[in-house]
Amino acid sequence: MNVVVLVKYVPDPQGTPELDDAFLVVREGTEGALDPGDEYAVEAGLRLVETHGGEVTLLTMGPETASAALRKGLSMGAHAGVHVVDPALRGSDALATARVLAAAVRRRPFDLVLAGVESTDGSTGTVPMTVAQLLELPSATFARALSVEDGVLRIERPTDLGFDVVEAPLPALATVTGSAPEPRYPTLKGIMQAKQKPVERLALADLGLSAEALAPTQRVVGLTRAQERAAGEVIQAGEDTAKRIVDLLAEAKVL
Amino acid sequence: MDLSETAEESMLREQAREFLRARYPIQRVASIADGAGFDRHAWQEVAALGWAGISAPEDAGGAGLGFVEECVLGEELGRALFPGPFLTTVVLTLPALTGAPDLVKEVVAGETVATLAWLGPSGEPGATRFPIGAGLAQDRPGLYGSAWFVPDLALADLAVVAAEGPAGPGLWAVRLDQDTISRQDLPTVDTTRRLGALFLEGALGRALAQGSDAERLLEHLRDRALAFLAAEAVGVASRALEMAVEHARTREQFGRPIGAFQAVSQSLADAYAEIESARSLVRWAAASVAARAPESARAAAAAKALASEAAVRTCERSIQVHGGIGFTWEHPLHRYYKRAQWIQAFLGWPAELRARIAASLLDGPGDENERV
Repeated sequence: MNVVVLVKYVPDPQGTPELDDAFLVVREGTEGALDPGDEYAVEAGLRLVETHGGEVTLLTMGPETASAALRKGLSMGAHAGVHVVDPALRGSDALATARVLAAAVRRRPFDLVLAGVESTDGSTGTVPMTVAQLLELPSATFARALSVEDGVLRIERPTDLGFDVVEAPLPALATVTGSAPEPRYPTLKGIMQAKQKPVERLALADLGLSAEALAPTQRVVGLTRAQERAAGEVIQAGEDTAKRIVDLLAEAKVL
Repeated sequence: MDLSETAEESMLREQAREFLRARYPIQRVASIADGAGFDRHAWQEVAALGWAGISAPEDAGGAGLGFVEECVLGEELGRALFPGPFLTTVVLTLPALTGAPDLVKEVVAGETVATLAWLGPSGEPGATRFPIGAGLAQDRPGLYGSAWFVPDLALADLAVVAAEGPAGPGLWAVRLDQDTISRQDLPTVDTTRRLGALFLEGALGRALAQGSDAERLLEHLRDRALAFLAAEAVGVASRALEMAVEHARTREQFGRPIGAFQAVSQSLADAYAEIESARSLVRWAAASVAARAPESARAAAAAKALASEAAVRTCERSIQVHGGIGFTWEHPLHRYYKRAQWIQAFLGWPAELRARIAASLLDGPGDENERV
């Protein structure tokens, strides 16, 4: 089976991304990495082709530096990469990104598209499902386990009480959570082979898309810092201790 | 000679650093150092990534890379104070096992931890060049004698033993589970890399190399060890400097970060300059040793002399910059300092190495093959 994994190059996941004057994430001249969430999707894809045969192709859209994300995934064991890189794509919103990715996926036969749940920088969490919609694929989201049998994708989706089993006929799209099996570390051989693996570079024209069709439909108009977590309340032992605790629990709607 | 880092080497470095940061945070290293000193399961995990077979040929299950890549890994292992037998098993013994493919396979798979026993009681290979005798006048043939300062001896399954046999010097592969063998732990400053003494009383071994082959092999192993330890020292120093810079940026006194005071910032700038010089020497040494070039003994000795000094001095500067906290057991700096001191002491102090380099340059003008 042919698995396409959508991957993203994000600024250092441990740090706080910087924003420019237009509220766009600064991507040039910063340290970055393959989004750690996407590594789970790569791992899931590798496991599926190890069982069923086939290839894992990584697909990314991003500036030149984004090739580092492909290289990381290739060193984990993915077979090929596709890099959509075009200056006109700078600042693309989630919908434009999904259009580009869908157009790139469509270019060759595939059975399954995998993605992380959301990126650690943009965090919209909307791109995978939009890609599924554009490709008219069923989407099975938030998988902690995936399997394929007789042309049917089956995932386990954690819920508050346990998990749902969701099935979809292939071709399909699934998003993979961080409770799926841990991503593997690249072996030395994997690292050394990564550079020899094929990476196709595509521009917008190759995808038959025009910059106008990708004009943003969303725009960030303002930015507010998240409130710092306030100090907790310490309740001293005394006569009204119990009452104060009960009041707080009621206030938090626990009682 | 182009000594700059290739794209593949940079990737190897990045991936190794990421793995070590995730799997060997300093807290884990500390608990291993204060406990058994070794985690066998962890070594197998590292072997599964191909690290134990980094320079073993691909048909032996290795990655088929070379000594330059070993040194790239070495710097990262030093940065992380990696508490595993990479120095002993991979750097010091693997090349001696070439004639025993079954042993190479065990080592590459991480099943067998191996070390090299070739130092006398003075810590020098030269003093009593081969401290262990082979098949001497005892009533049964075998290896007899003692070897000192054997790194990772307590956890090793196999030792490559340098001995003087009837036909001259030789190297033998000796399994350490024989009852003709005893081992003794020696007090070691860096508990992530412990030393031991090995006593053989008629132990059986498998011949690996004899005569001048054995001598050449030992010289090559020493060059490898010196260059690799220098790479490790650069890693140790870089990390100690990073910690100092971080502290100097955030710790405030008299209303500003202490890094704003010249006494602090200039000391750290000097450390940086020393580390970068050492890094360049390490690249030269790694490339020379990898190519088995005539100057490899000098290059390896020079790199180890400078890099180990840089590491010790950087740790000392870092401890001073950290102030009181740098002196505590809880702070990890003392662990870096101890590794730096271990590296500086092992296989020759900087002054001894420089004396050897000088002697080889002055006594044998024009002869590049002169051993250091």
